[in-house]
This record gives sequence, C-alpha cells and structure tokens, in this order.
Amino acid sequence: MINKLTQFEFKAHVNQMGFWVAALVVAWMAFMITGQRGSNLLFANSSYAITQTFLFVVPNIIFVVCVLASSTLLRDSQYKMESLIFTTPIDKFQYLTSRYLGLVLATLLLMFVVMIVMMVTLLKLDDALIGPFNLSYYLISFCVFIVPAVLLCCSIVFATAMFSKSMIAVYVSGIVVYVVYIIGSVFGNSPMLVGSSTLLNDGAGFASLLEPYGLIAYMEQSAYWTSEQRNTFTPVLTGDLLLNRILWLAVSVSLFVFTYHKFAFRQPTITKKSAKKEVEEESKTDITGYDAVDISHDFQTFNFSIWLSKLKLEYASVTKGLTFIVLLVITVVFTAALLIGNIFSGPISGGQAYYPLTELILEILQQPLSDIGMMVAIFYAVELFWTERVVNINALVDATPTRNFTFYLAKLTTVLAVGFTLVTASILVSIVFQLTQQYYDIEPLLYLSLYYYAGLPIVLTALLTLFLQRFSKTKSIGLLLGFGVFSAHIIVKAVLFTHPLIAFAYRPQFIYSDMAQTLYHSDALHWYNLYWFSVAIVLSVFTVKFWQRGLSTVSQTFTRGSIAILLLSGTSMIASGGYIYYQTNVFNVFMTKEQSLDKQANYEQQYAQFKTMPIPTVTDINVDVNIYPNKRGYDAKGGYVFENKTDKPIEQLLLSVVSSGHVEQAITIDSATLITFDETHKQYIFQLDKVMVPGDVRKLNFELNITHNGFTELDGEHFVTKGGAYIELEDVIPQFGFDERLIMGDEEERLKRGLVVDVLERPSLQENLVSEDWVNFETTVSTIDTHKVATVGKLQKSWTENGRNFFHFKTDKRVKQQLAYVSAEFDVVSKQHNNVDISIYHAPEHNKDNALVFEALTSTMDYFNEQFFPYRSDEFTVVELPYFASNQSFGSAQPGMYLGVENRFFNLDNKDSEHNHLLRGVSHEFAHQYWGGYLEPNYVGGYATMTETLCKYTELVMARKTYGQYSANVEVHLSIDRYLQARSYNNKVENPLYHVGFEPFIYYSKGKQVMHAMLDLVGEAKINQALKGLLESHGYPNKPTSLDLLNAYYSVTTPEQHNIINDLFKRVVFHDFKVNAVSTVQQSNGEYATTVDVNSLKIVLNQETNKEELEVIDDNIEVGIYSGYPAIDNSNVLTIKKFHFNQDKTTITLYSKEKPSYVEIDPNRYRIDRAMVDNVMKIL
Amino acid sequence: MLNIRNLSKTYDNGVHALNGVSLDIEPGLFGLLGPNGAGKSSLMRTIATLQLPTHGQISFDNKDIIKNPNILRQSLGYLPQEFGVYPKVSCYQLLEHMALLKGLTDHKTRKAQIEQLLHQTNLYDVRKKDVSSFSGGMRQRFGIAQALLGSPKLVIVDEPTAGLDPYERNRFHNLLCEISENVVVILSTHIVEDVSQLCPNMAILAEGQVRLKGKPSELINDIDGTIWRKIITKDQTSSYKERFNVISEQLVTGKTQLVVQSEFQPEMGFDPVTPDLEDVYFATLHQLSNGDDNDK
Repeated sequence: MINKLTQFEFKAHVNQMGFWVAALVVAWMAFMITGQRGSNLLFANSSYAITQTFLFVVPNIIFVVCVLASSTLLRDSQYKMESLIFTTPIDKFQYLTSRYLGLVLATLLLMFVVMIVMMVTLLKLDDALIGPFNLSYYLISFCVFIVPAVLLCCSIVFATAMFSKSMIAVYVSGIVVYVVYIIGSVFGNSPMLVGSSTLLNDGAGFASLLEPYGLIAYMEQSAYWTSEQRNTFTPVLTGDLLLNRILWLAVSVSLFVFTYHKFAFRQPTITKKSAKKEVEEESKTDITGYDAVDISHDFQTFNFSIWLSKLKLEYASVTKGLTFIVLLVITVVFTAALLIGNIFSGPISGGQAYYPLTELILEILQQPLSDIGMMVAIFYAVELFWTERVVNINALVDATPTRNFTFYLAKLTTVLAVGFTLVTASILVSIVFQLTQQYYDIEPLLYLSLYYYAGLPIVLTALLTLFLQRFSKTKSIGLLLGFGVFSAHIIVKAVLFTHPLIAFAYRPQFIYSDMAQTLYHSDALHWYNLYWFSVAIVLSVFTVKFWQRGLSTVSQTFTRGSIAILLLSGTSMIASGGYIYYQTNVFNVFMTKEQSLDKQANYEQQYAQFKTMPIPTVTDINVDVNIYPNKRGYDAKGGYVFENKTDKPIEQLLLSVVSSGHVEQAITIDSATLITFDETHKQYIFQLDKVMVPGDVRKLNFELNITHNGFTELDGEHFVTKGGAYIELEDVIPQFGFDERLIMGDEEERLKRGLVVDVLERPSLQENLVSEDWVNFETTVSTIDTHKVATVGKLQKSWTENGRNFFHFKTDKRVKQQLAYVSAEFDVVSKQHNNVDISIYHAPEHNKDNALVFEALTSTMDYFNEQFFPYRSDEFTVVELPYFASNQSFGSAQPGMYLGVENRFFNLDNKDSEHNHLLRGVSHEFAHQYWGGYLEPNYVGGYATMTETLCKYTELVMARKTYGQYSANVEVHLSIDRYLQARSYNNKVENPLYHVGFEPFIYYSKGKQVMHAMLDLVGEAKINQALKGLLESHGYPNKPTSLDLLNAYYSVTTPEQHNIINDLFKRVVFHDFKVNAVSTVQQSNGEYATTVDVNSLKIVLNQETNKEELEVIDDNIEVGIYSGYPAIDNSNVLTIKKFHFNQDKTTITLYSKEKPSYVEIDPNRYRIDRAMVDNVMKIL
Repeated sequence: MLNIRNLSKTYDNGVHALNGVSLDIEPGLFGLLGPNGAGKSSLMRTIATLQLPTHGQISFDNKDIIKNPNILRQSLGYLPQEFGVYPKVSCYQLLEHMALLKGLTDHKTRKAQIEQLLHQTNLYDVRKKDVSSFSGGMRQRFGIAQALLGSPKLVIVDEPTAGLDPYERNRFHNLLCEISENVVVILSTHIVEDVSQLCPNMAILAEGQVRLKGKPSELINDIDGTIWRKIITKDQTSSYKERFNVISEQLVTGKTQLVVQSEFQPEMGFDPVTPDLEDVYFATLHQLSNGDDNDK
C-alpha cells in the first residue's frame, strides 16, 4: 500500500512542470560550477572538488523542496480534497509516510541529476584538469552531505506544510533554514560565502554544529589537507562532522515523528464554526427597496482610496500571520549575529575590535540584507500575484472597473512594505547594538542610505518577479522563475560576470570611508541604479498592460500616462545605459578577467626582448602635482634626470605608463624620437638621437592627467575622492624597461598559457648585485583649501594661493623610489624623540590613538637604536589613509613615514585593552625603514624573507620585550593556522621560505612561526648580531638575497643548528607529535616523576615529487607538564624541558613538585604539527 | 442593449465551448437555460470581460466591449458560478473593498448602499464575520450583494440560486425582478422553474449553440397540442422509447410517466398535456440528441 501511494506521490511530483524546471536549474548550477573546477594539482573530479560542488548546491535544496512541496503537499487543502481523502480507508501512517517519501524521492532524484551532470561536465574540461575517475568519491559525498540535507529540508518543509497548510509559511520555513545556514557560515567563516574573507577558523566548534549541512565541519576537517590529499581523501565521519551529521539527522527524524504525532487526520474545524454562525443569523430582516448608487469615480485617473483599500487588504493578509513574525525574528537575530560576529572580531580575526561605526555596520549588512530582502520579495511577489487565483475570488475582482495599475501598485507596495519593514527592523537592531556599545554617533542619514543601497535591489526584484509571473501558468512555475532570477543573480555575480549592464541589479562594492565621508563608487552607484530602475519600469509598464484579468490575455490599452512613462523610462534606460557604457568601456578601461589575463600574457611575449636590454637609472625626480578632490582627479607635471649606470651603450628606451582610471599622458625625452607608441599596453619606444654611453646623463619630461571617478574600479593604492586622496605616484609616472607589473602573477594561469611558471628567479650567491637606484625627490603639490598633503621628503614651505593649499617637499638625501601622496583633512600632532620629529597626520575625529602610536613607535625606535643603528633621519611621519586603501593593505611603509589605514591602524576600539594593540602594526611598519629600506634585497625569490618575514620578527621581539616571553604565542598559533589553511589552496609545489615568491601565507604566516622557532633555537641576541652584520655589510646600495641572510645566520650558529635552520628556511618540514601514554608517581622526596611515551615523526616535502616523506628526527623538542589544561602563555606550567629526539618513539621523564594533570609536547609550537589534538594528554 | 454576434470560443485544449452564438438582449430579466456543460458559464465569462472570444462581437449600449472591456466593467454586476474569498476578511470589509474596486469612492453613499444590500441579502447580522467561514448559502448571498454594488446596467448571475433555501430563493427572485426594470439581467441556470417564474425573455443554449430563443409564453404556444403523456411500467420504457419521440420520463409513485412530442396521439392511452416551459426545454434538448443520433 505504502509502496503504491509513494509511487503515486512521486509521479505527482515528476509530472509537474516545476520539477523539470527545478531539474534544469540545479543541473545548470552543477554544470557551471563543475566547469570552473580543476587545476593541475587539484583535479576537477577530486574527492574534494566533488564535495565542494555538492556543498555549493546543498543550500539551494531547500528552495527546490519548497517549490516541489508548494504544488503537491498543499494540493489536498488547496483543492479541497481533504474530505475525500480523509474518508478513504488509508490511515494516517500511510498518508503521511507516502507524502513524505514521495517528496524525499523526488528531491533525491533531482540531486541525482546534479551528480550525473557533474560527471558529464568533466568531458568538457581539459584532460590535464581531470584525474582518474572514481565513482566512490561521488557516492560517499552524496551519502554524507546530500542525503541528510534532503531529509532535513523535506522534514522541515513537510512539517510546515502539514501544520500550516499555507504556502507562504512553507517559503518562510525555507528562508529560516537558509538563514540558519548563513549564520552558521558567518560564524564558521565559510569560504563559500561572499564577504567572509579570513580563513581563520577560531569559532568553528559551535558553528560547525549549528550549520545544518555539515559544510563548516567538513571545511574544518579538510582545512589542512594538501592538494594531493584533497584529490583522494573522502569525507570521514568523525569528530565535528560526525556530530553534525548525527545532530541534523536526529532533527530530521524527530521532526517527522513530531509531525506524525501532532497531525490531525481530519479536516480543519472551520466548518463547525460556520454552522454556529448560521444559527446566529436566524433573525430575518425586512426587505427594503434596492437603490442603485452611481459610481463616483471615472477610472481615468488613479484613485488613492481604492489603492489604499487594496493595500490594506494585502498588507494585512501578509503581516497578520505568524510567518511575518517569524521573518521579523529571523531578521533581528540575523542582524545581531552578523554584527557581533564581525564588529567584535575586528580587522584581524581574534584581534582588536572595531568601533561599531555606522559605515562598517552598513558594509556588513547591506549584502546579506539585500539578499534576504530579494528572497522575501520574490516569495511575497509570487504569493500576492496569485492570491486572487488561489482563493478563487479572481472572477469577482477582475470584472471590476478598477485599472490594472491600481492592482499592480497595491501588490507591489505590499511586497516593498514587507521588504522595507525587515530593513527597518535590521536598522533598529543595529542602533540598539551601537548604543549597548556606548557608541552614540548614529549617523541617521547613512542608515537611510541603506534603504537605497539594500532596498533598491529589493524593489528591482519585486518588479522583475511580478513581470515574470505573467509568463507562468501556475504559481509554482512562477516561484521557480523568481527563484531562477535570484540564483542567476548570485551566480552571475560570482562566476559569470561580464558587464554591469547585463548583471541584474548590479551594484558596485559598498565601501564608505568615515575619514573621507563618502562612498567610493557613489556617482556610479546612482547611475547603475537609474539604469536598472529604468529597465524595471519599462518591464512594469508591460506588466500593467498585460495584467491578468480573467482567463485569457485581455490586455489593457496603453493610456496616455503609461505611454509617457514608457517613453520616459525607455529614454532613461538608453541614456543611463549609454552613459554607463561610455564610463566603463570608453572613459575607463573595461576588461573581463580573461581579457586582462590575455593582455598580460600578450605583453610578456611581445616585449620579451626588452627584458635583457640595458636600462638607465633615474637619479632625480622633480614633479608638480595638483590634486582636485572634488573632480576626483589630479595632474602631475615633472621631469627625471637619468643616467646610464650600466657598462653598455643605450640606443633605445622602452617606457611604460601604468595607471588605473582615465589617463592622458605625454612624454618627451631630450634629443630622442618616439618611434612607437603601443596604446594597449601604454608602451613608448624612443630612439635616442645620440647613443647614451655609460655615465651619460639625460632628461625626461612628462605630463599626466588622471581622473578616478566612481566608475573606476577601486584601486587601494590609487584613488581620489572628495574627502581623501592617496596616490602612489611611483606606480604612475613613466618607468624604464620591461615592466614587471604588467605580467601575470597567477601561476596556474601562466601554466595554462605556456609561460614560465616561476615569476621570480631563484636566489644565487654569485649575483652580488649593487645598484644605486635611490633618487633625489622634490615636489610641489597643491590641493583644496581644507586639505593638507603628506608625502615623502621634508616640508620646505607651505602657502595658500587662489584658494588652494600648496606644499613644497624636498628630500635631504636620496630615498628609495616610493613616493606616496595623501591629501585629506588632517590634524597634525607632533612629538620629539631622540632628536627625531615624529608627526601624526590623522583625521580630526580619529584622535584617540595618538598616545598609543607614539608609545609603540618610540619603543620600536629605541629597540632598533640599541640593537642595530639609529634611524637615519630627523623626521618620521605617520599618516592615516582613507578606508578605501583597505582593499589593498593594512598599511604602507615609505621612506621616513608609514601610512596606516583607517579602521586598521586608526580608529579601532581601544577601550579596556590591556595591551597596546597598535604595537604589532606600528613596529612592523617602522621596521620596514630597515627591512626593505636600509637593507633592500634583490628582487628575486626569497625577497620577502628579508622584508616581511623580518618585520614579523620585529613584531615578535617587540611583543616579547614589552609583554613577556610567551605573549606572542597566540599570534604564532594563529599564524600557523593561517599558513596551514592557505597552503591547501596553493596550486603548485610549495616554495620553501628562502625562495618564496608572491605568497603571503609563506612569508607572513609561516615566516612568523619560523622566526619564533629561530628565537628559540638561536636566541634574540645572536639573531640581532647576524642582522646587524648583514645591515652593515649588505645595506644599500647592495642588493643581498636570502642566501646572504642565511649565511649571516650560519655565522652565528653551530653546525647542528645549521641543520634546523635549513629545515626552517630551505625545506618544507612538518612534524607529527603524539603523546602515547603518560603516568606519574610520587617519589620518596615528595617530587612527582612523570613518564611520557611520545611519538615524534618528521615529515619533509619532496620538492621534486610533491610527496611527503618521513625522515628520522634529530632535534630538541620541548615537553611540558602542567597543573590543569596547558595555558597558551604557559601560566600553569610546572616543568618544561627540552629533550633530544632521534627516533620515532621515545620515553622521557619529567619531575615536578606539584602533581601534574596534563602533559604536552611542543606546547610553544616551535615546530609545525598539523594535528595538535594528540599532543596533549590528561594525566590520570 | 446587449448585442452578441456570432460568438465562438475555443479553448487551448481544443474544446469548442461556444459556437456562433448570437443574441440581442434588452433590459429586463433574460433567462439562459441549458444543461451542464452547454457553454453557459463560458458565455457569461466572455460577456463579463473575463475572457476573449475566439470570434465574434459583443457590444453593450452600442459600445464594443471586447476592445474596451472597462466600459462594461463600470456598469457590470457579476456573480460567477463559484468563487472564493480572501481569508480573515469580514463580510462588511469585503463588500466595502469590492465597492471601492467598483468605484464607489464616496464614503457616505457607499456605506448606505452596503447596509441596504446587507439587509436585502439578510447578511446584516453576520456582517462582521469572516466571509471565508460562511456556509454555501450565505456565501451565495454575499455574492449577490457584491454583484449589485454600484449601479450596474448589466447584471450577470450564473446559477445564482444553487444552495439557497426556498425562502432565500424567493427573496432573491424578488430582488432580481426589482432591479431588472431598466437593467439587463442575465440569469443563467439549468432550473426551468427559475426562468418560467421570472424571465420575459429567454434562450436555450446547448453544445455551445443557441437552440431556441424567444418569450417563454410564445415558445410554449409553439408546441401546444403536440405534447402527450402516458404512465407505464418500468420495464416497458425501452420499447416505448424506441417507438416514440420520448422527450422526458419521470417517476410518479413508482411508475414511469413518459412525455412524448407528436403532432397526433401516438397511441391509445396517451393523454394530451397543456405544455409548460419544461416541455419546451426537453423537446429542444431531445431534438438535439436526435440530431446527434442521425449524424451517427
């Protein structure tokens, strides 16, 4: 019986059109995602890629189930079949089980289609991207992730449908599930969620359980897997993943059981009530005469009260129910969760919290809020569009003379009212959040802009969804069309983006700077909004004209008003579209990702012969810059003196001008002729009239005029806005020779295009490059009268002329070519320290950090003064950068100054902090005066080991010096975590530190751990001794390599230590420690002897084969015993001691006065172990 | 007043619901009689501007209402055969809403008319209850009330008395008569009695075609003297049916009473009957089925 009934249900699902449309949508998704997968190391059909694709599809299952359920589960109550069915001999069990199984089977079939499409799509991919086919990878992932997800979604939707018998309640249950997923992902920092950027995974425990699809738990499990392992490792049901799966399976089952017990196999009791009412109306009234009442409205014009009546009815119908309350609650919880998750964790996960600035809150909220708003708009638009038809009152309503427009407007207004009510709720929660944090600068205008920024996509979605309903015969198809719009919107944004003009409801990045008091893309945003709004209005005119009245398409004639609106919106669509096209493609440069990669490849091939040509060296730069913040542009006019410092004659010069934004440029060189100008790559080739012999000096003049308006893609190192400008001028002014900036960095793309994979050559000891390439720099810069400018050099003079501020800067000695200009409204505070004038340029409002900056800066200066040699200038400047720069970096070091980004270095919440949270960043940036400044390495592999890694070292020693030996332990732990997570996304054989390329996870994250290990191995004094020697022997104009650095380390260490140094810098090494057993006994002297049995494996990555190989350990490793669980700062350590290990398994003994309760091997993480769990053991 | 010319309607699934219907209807009650599936509702919906005909014209007051449906909608009262209502909306609220949709924007007159209609349809006492909880009869009365809102010039009521008790039905008939003085009222029904009681003009619709139209009295006159009746036993029925033109049969105290149409007495035992509208109706339908038989 059940069998037959289930078959019947299953057929009902499969026979509906919605099923096939849904199949098409999910199949398309699977196809698109699989089509993007695969690299040479991580195959498109690797176990990991398969699982990820499934996990990408999984959050959408709930919508599919909603669609399937909306037309089948509710059909009995909708078509009033209940009385027929409930009186047949089938019992409750058969009825419910068959319904449920039918839904589950239909959904599983859809997911099966996804799996098949994933397999078939492989055929379209390049052979190199595909590994051996293994069916079990698909099946295991399918069983672990898809089946439970299907059960969960079906149980939830089933329960909702059976109890509420309401379609909108079913949708809302869908949204609830989606939101729970998003909250889980936000807390677990899912890499799949747009907007969560850090890979740091500290809150995973709770989130990995909460998130209903097991995604976070899987991410946690696979976080440290290498590509090699990702190819073959299937998800393992242990730990959090197992708990997660059990939890959600239990939820699914209990929901079904609950539904079964609570479901009344009877018709709802409305009929009884009405019977009672009928009795009430027994009293008959007398018949009075009928009087016709003339219609008072002519229906040629819009009538407010008719619209209001319709609106009241619609709005009441959507907000009266429980569903609306549920949505409101979700919005409130969701907003609070997002704010707590983001504001408290600050710019670096686990670091200092942000102030709850309104602009940061908007940045956090606008994307998720508009996504949820769009979904709500789709659901309600569909629901309202079909209301009359569903309740079957359409014949009455459609035959009234009320114009289509009134109906349309009432429904639209209702949808928007719901959407905007949710936005309002979210804003209120945010304000309450700010107040609880004692933050009172609410900025209501900025909040209002959220209605525009997150609200307009909701409006557009509502307009489009209503338009699409006319193409659908049934509600569930209508819903699918709406859902299709939503997923297309998400997918186009994420993968298929080609042009804003065809990406529905396109919005540029939301980034608002408190310092500059402006949104970066503000003008462009208005234009995009105008364009998409016009498009939506054009569609709406047709929606109104063809509004369904009755059964067939009885279109309404165009009224004069609608023609006017059509013309107006059509014109505005074409005009704004045209303007946007002009701005994006003509005034600015527009390229898809593929196009720009092709361009880079083309440059590298076309200009290869210039790589080896001798180039002259610039010795003097003199430039006048005029910055026009309100026009969002600047001009720069100046000249170079350059000299042939090579030993070869120079006949030809290649020059390039590279800049984002709209650029007009002119270059002239004394006694030289321009022979070609390449417009695409902005390359000039000049033929010198007279050959430049070694030692020859010439002059070059240039003029640049650059505009960076709202349509220019935000470049974090180059922007001009009305409230602040930041220009790295050295990147914009002409450069000699083959331009390394124009080539492709992405190694996988390089491989695809047949280019040499390594961008940087390996360091060699033979090179011993010496190059005097620093410059004398002089500049006069002007800006508007409210701004001040900071740049490299000493301020000679400043004056005001024609309402503009002028500043004349000049360097007193040669400086590295790093010439940043910052123009903004600044307050300047100064202080003298050891004959150095320190100035801080900060936004007037951001004045709470000055003391901390001074403190951090002077203590770092003192350290360098003591350990190496004094800072070589009598001025040091700290400048705040507008938040827009955060797209690129935290801060930037320049000769004699550093620039720190708003909300990164400046304006962080420094209340109640025990430590100076700026010490880390400030010491890092100041250290660049030495590492990368006085010691300027050769630009080959390992370059960053001598700049960023040494700055990380400075962070470590400054923290240890100020706050104690173990104070940086948390930082080191986080760095190891970042390194291990990021390395698994690496798609080539991992470089060891000494020839690292552009791989921040190695030179920052691993670098920090390596220097931490060096401090343990060699000690601070000897490291500083080595570094001091290197500064003296290899400082500017020498260009040392990482091998010179290693030699310096070797010179202060023993041969045994050399081996470990080599492991740290020249190889990729891991350890696998494990405490096998531990026991403790009290001896006669009262001391406790703790015997520990440990494993200590050493694993080395073979650079040739990319395979990990075991090697016998020969190293000193710490083991510690603790009273209580080992604290990260060793505060509860009883005894900690180094032991020499030279075999895989060793038994050691530690002594302590107190009875220990825990033992841990390598508690300070001087070596990298990927499975920390088994390094600790409780002593029983 | 309402002129229908050569109206045809074929649905997407191929069903020919209307086939060349032409009617001219003047103010007063007009009965549209026909069996289930004759196309009555299709015709009503088409007139009520809810669907477009495949062919043909409809004009009301000499205005083409296919091109300009809104002209008719302003003076239309329509009660479809079945309809639903918004949940959780009271009777008064919903009438008020419908009144507004019909353009009764003046608050005072709207209120007065709604109250009057509530009294006339005997819904005044339950005006604050949700319509969705009404029983079938009450809901039907609500439908009547909403159809009469405003000042309709054309009232279309599709099977209106189904579900009404005799008292309510009477009341409704009186109301229809009252308004039909200078308004076109089309009453679609399969109950002959309704038409014979009320309608000065009528048409019989079957299989999408108008089979007969005229004044009931004239139509009855036309068949006067051709209708015969005989009571027989049940087992004789089939042989009688083979031999005579039996237009209807009815059980009378367990025996079958046959009605036969014939120019002369068909057989001994047949008594002449003074025909009524029911006989006209059955005779018309019978001709139709005979015609079908001939086709076969």
